[in-house]
Amino acid sequence: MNGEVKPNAPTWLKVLVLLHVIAITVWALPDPTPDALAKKRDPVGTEWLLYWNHRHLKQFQPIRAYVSVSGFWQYWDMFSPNPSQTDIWVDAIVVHKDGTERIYQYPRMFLLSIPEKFLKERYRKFYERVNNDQHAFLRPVFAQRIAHLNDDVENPPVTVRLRRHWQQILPPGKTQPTTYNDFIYYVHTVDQDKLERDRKATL
Amino acid sequence: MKSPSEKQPAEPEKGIFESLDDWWFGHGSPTTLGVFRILFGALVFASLVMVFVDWEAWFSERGYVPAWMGRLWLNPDVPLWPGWDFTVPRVGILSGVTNAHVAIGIYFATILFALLTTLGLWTRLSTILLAIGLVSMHHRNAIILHGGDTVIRVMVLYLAIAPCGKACSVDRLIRLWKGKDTGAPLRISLWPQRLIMYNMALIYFTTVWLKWFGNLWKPPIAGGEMTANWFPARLAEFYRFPYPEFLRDTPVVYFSTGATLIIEFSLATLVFYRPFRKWVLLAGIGLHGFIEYTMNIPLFSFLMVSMYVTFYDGEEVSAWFQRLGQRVGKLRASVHLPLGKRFDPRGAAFFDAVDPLKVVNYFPGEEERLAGSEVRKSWTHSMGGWLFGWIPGVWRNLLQRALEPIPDAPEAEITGKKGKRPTPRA
Repeated sequence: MNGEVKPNAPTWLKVLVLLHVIAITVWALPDPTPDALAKKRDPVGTEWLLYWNHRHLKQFQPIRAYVSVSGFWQYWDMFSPNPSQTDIWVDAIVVHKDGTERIYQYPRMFLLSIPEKFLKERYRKFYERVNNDQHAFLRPVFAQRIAHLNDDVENPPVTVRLRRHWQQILPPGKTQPTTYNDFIYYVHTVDQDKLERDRKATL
Repeated sequence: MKSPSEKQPAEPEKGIFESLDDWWFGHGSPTTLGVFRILFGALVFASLVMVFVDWEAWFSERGYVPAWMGRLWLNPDVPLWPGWDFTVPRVGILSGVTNAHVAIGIYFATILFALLTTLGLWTRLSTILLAIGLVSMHHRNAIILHGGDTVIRVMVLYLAIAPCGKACSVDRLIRLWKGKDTGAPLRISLWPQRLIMYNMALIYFTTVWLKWFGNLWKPPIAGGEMTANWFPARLAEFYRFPYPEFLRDTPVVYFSTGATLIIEFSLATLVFYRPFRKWVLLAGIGLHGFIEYTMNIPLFSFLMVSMYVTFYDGEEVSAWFQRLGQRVGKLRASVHLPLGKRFDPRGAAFFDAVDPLKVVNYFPGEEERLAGSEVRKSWTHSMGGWLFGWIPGVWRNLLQRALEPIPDAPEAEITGKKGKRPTPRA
């Protein structure tokens, strides 16, 4: 159909495009602040619109279903509402059956070469979520994987202690800390059956 | 002499709905979508290959996210209507798959479809299968996804519904070669391109809106501190290349924080106003270029900037390529065809299409056969030729099969592509 100008699009298509635009907009609009959401205070200014969107439109099941099922779900919160002010990384103390302890360094971007950083950034993102207390259910699997990575048939790991290291970034004009705090925040008893299954698995 | 307004009656002014309707659903060149498909397809390919390095960690049963964990994180079934028991499953052919061989097979197939999408081969099918594979991977393990991944997922879905193989694609070349398309410009409905533009603007708009609720982005006049950029620059986990200290110190962070907010807001609003478009997009490239250099957020800046091309019409993109070809003398080449031969119409259309920069001029030569140096010049200077030219014999074969004798040629007549270039360039 070279050179042929088709007529404008059919009405059904326009309706679908309009519904799609409404759905992704409703879904992508920011959530109001937690205080406003929990009714600890009234929303302020444009927050009313977001509050209303969150309470009514975002909960509308067909919109949820459409964006969730299709893959169009999206939420854009890069460095917002405020960027993170805490530098965090993790390592683990792996205790083996004979009592020996080994430190396992979970990939830490700061220590990696530039190409490695490029390839392994997902480790940082994943840990950002594992570290969140709301996602504490991720920790046993996280620790079990570390046990697998430190497996030794003769002397298997029996306990994994996850240790968080963090440093608060202070605002301009204040002396920045130079050391990291650390804290063991989760102790995992290694599931030996799972360890055995993972040994046998080819992938 | 008549004034321009007397020569033709002025078009009746359109109402806002008519204008919007024209903008969303009007027709235009598919070149922009073709270029976007190449850029984005290549980035998706790179992103998928990067996952392979740690595939076992993220997608196997002994990794950090076994299948049951993926389902726990992202419920695979979503109710369709309030109060109904009926649910619809998320797109997810990897959902619940615990067989590593099946999972890795789907993963490799997805990489293959990303490659085919980039090339524009069987484009409609490739883009649809790429979207299914990629969305499935995201639904299988959403815990590792960052902003760039979300951009990839959403844009791949748009590619799947767009006629993005109509230009700059192997499909287009095949159709030209077979004579199913002529070289005449194609026109497509632009709504998929408009959706990409809208979604890009939505990304910037919502992130600015959310930033406005923080105290670190806003200027003091609005009750904020405007020091947001101070903090990411000090997060050691984000360090990438070194840069001068003063760029992450006051007073520059005040400026860069404010500029970030203004540029992002402009990328959501002013970018739609043509006189500002170029400057807003250049500012966006500057912003993302700085982020890419200083911070370890892999591919994100490239993904965002690749969407900028959709703010240009296909005709503008084609013209830009041709201007580039005219400006860079080294790109130009004169290729001599065998004596008394010229391109047949489908050959002319094909070799015109593989040369978006319009830098290769073809002339009848003195030799009976195509010289090897001429064949090499032809494909190395034609961007589309890079796809096939390196395969021994292929380009020569294509050239030879695209030629026809010049009827009753009294002497060496100069033949340009489609006969449109009667004289060689100096």
